[in-house]
Amino acid sequence: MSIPKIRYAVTGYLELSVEGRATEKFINLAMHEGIPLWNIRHGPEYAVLNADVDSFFDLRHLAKRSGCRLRIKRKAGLAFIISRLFRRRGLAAGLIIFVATLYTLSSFVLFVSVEGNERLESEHIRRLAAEAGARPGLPKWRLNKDELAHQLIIAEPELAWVGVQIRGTRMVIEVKEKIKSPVAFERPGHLVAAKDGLVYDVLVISGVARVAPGDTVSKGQVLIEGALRPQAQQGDTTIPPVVAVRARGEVWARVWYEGYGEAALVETERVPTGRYVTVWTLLIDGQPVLRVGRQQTPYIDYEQSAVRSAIFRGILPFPVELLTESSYEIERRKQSLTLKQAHELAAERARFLAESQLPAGVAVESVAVTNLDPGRAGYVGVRHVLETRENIAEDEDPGGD
Amino acid sequence: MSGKGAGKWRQNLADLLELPREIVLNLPRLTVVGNLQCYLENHRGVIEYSSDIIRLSVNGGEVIISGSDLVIRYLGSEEIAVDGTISTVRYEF
Repeated sequence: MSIPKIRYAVTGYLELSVEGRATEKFINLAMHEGIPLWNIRHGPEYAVLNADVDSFFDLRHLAKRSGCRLRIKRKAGLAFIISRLFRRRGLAAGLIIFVATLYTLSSFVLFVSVEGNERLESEHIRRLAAEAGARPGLPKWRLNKDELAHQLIIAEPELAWVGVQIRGTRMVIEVKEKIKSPVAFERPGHLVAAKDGLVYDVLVISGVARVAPGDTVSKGQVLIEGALRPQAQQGDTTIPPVVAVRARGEVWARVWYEGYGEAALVETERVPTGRYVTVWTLLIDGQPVLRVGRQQTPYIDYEQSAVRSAIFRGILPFPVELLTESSYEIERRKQSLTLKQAHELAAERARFLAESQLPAGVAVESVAVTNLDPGRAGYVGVRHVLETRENIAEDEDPGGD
Repeated sequence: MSGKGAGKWRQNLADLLELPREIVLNLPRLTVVGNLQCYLENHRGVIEYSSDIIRLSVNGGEVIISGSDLVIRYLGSEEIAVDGTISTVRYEF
């Protein structure tokens, strides 16, 4: 009995008024023709009824036969709305542009504010954030909050903790500054080598130098002793006591960073084939509740990645998470390299290893690349050595707080 | 007379085979939901309708629905649904 109202709501229908004395006849004629009518109400002068669009022309014909006047009171349904919108293209386009603009603008970071700083200038932190890539105009999806916080902590040693929040179009950088313990500075102690190196310059501010230019030092070795030995006065037989002080100074040394890389003449490459399967798990309060996807990975060799994302955060009192586990099929592909290509590959690996050890802000003085025989058939080896000049002096007990 | 005899014969057949009578005897089937809705299958057309009374033609007579705010919710070639506040449903054969 129910007419597919939803269908007519999409395809469109007409609200018609029928005027005349024999509206019953008209209705019966329509009924016999198999034209579905609905919501037929009898008003004082005319009847109102609904009919679908396609049968309107038939109905007009029937109205003529039954001596009634047929008039369209209202056109309803999605089809008419669309055609009306199509006629008013400007309005529709404007609406879409408005929503799109609003959406686009709200997906950018437009303001950056800093909270919680006491000694550091907000402008300074904002500049550091901008150097890390987080400046006004940054699309929100490009912002990696944890990464930014991490970079800020590295860039500004005065910061103990950084939290990044997005509030609407405003990015709030919450910072906590380090509280320095003034005592640590005055405590006596030695300066020791932070890393192995060849000393070429020693500058003592307080304490006694234990190394001289040309010495090779290893990590942890005392460079400047935190002790003062006053000279014995002429004719004084007693040796004055040693005064313990905080050693201060700089010890400049040449430091080498070495990386070694190998490459086989026949390299096996792990290439993703592009095929993957994903399993979604709904976790409620840490417990898996619903699992959607293939239970077993159909690949011989694959790599997995898992992403946990919290949903309904702040709406529900318990954590609801969606765990997305994807398995990417991997194909092992053997690739033959020429000797030159193998050397290049090995050199690249060695360079990467060497450079990854390099501390930030240290200039490389010279680079030495040597080819080695790794002692294995079908392999080539390359050693990559970076030489830097650094101050390797370090407090014996770093971070004495 | 023969029509009446045929009717009797059909009724006996319907009884024997336990077939639904409205199909065998071509009679209307009326469903009334409270006093809100009235649903009539196997009708022959609308004789008269207004917001107070709806007269429907059925095989061998008519069904008269009276009440207030009556609306034909749906009208198809076999069935009709009437909504509103129904006070009486009456047969006239």
